[in-house]
Amino acid sequence: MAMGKMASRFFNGRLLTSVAAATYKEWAAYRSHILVSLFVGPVYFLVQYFIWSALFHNTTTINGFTLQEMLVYYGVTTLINYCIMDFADWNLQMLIRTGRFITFLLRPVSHRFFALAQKVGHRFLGFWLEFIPVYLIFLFVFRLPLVPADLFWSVLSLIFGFLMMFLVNYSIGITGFWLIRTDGLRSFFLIFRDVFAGVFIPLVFFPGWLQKVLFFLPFQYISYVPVRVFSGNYELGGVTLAIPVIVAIQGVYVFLMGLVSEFLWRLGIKRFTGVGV
Amino acid sequence: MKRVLDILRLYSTGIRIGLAENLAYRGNFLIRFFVMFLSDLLFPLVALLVYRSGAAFPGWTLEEVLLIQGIFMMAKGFAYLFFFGLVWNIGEMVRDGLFDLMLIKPCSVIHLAAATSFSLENSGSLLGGSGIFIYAVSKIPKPGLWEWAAFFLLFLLSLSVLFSFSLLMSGTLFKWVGNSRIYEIFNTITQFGLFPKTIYSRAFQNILTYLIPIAMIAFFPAAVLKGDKPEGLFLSAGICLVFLFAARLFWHAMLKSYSSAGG
Repeated sequence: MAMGKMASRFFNGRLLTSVAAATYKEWAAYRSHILVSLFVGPVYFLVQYFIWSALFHNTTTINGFTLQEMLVYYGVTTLINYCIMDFADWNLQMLIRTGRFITFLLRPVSHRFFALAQKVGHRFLGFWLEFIPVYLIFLFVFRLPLVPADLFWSVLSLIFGFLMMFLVNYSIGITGFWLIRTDGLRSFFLIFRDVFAGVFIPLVFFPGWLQKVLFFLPFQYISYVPVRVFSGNYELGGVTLAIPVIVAIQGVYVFLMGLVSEFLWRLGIKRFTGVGV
Repeated sequence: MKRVLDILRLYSTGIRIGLAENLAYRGNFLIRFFVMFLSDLLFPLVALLVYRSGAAFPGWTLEEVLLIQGIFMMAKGFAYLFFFGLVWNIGEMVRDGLFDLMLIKPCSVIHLAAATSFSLENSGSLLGGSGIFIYAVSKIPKPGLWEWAAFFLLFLLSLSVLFSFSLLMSGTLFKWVGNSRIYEIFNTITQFGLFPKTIYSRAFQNILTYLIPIAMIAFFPAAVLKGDKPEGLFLSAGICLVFLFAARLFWHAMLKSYSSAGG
């Protein structure tokens, strides 16, 4: 019974669908904000297209990538980011700083699960308004063959990437329990995260020793791994792994990151000093 | 003359307030300064990694690409430090219904919004850009006096392009209330200016030179500094002034369409 109560605090299907639906409706009111992606994503890709076309002018491969593979890498990175995008860090630190977090402590649900449900709703909207239109633009305008090598592993890896992004961001948000203003720290982590997740350039471009370090950090599991799984091959730091193996490792890392976030939460919550607490 | 002095006084007050605000949260300020410094180093980092892998832009050495990116960062750093904050300021005030308070003040709204947005943490870009610029200049053939003179003139035009963008963006926010993604649109469009213009197709080169003069932000200043005579330079310089004039007209037109909280 106690176990059941405990489990329902961390996962509650009804809560998930209710909060996700409410968040979906709330953000649907700001459709034009989300639709900016229809401009930003393709234009960003267009710049990459020109850059890499110029760089490949007298060579067929760079660091093991052909021009087509490189364009697919950036195309898939853009699309995956629409699925996993997250601002749990900003939200949590804002709630802590303003004291509004107190209202969540009074509710019989885990705030982390509540925030995850919000993300699910928000990204569902992003799926229709960002992912699908930009996918079609990539497919018909840029003629990018964006077909996953294996649908099952790609979707599973994407779900793990979604969870990893959330857990990393949520853990950054938890620093709000210690710091009054976390904008600086958050921005620092976000740059660090995106660079080492392979958002700006494939990780195989980094020096060999750094690639080996990156293998053990959680960042590659946010974006780099889902992109490589989509393409059907994985390589980092000279290590080549079969797709099921790297997805299994990704799953283990998500679990470990969940533990880290829980640990940070337990440390941080003791420091919360909202009005009247 | 009095008007210029008034504007200078306004900016000096804005800078004082901005500094005091930054120093109230010193830790956060230092981290943000460092973040601004780091975030703008991303593109030079990508260029470095790409050139390290043996690839290169046709006709451009790594140092020449870094020169473009260093100038881009310096211009952006300067803009963010002194006037780009007006976009954020105006956007926030329109959303919160406080913009009316700006309108009743006895000075230019644009200057007031720019002066009160001063934040030293934005100087991180300027510092990072200057570092890359100095490094890149030391690696290219030494520019002569004329090259430097032309560079400074074009750098002013580069700032005028960024100022025009800030007017276009803040003007848009009178209607498109509270859209924080306007910065994303700006960053995406100006990304074309971080790389040599010659890598783009002919049509895009024309757009970046004669329609939206993004090539003036860094490509043209870098080209003259390394002794080139880039095609379309003079016409593009004229286009920058037209762009500024058009942006100003747009801003005032959008201001007229602003409906305050009182209707």
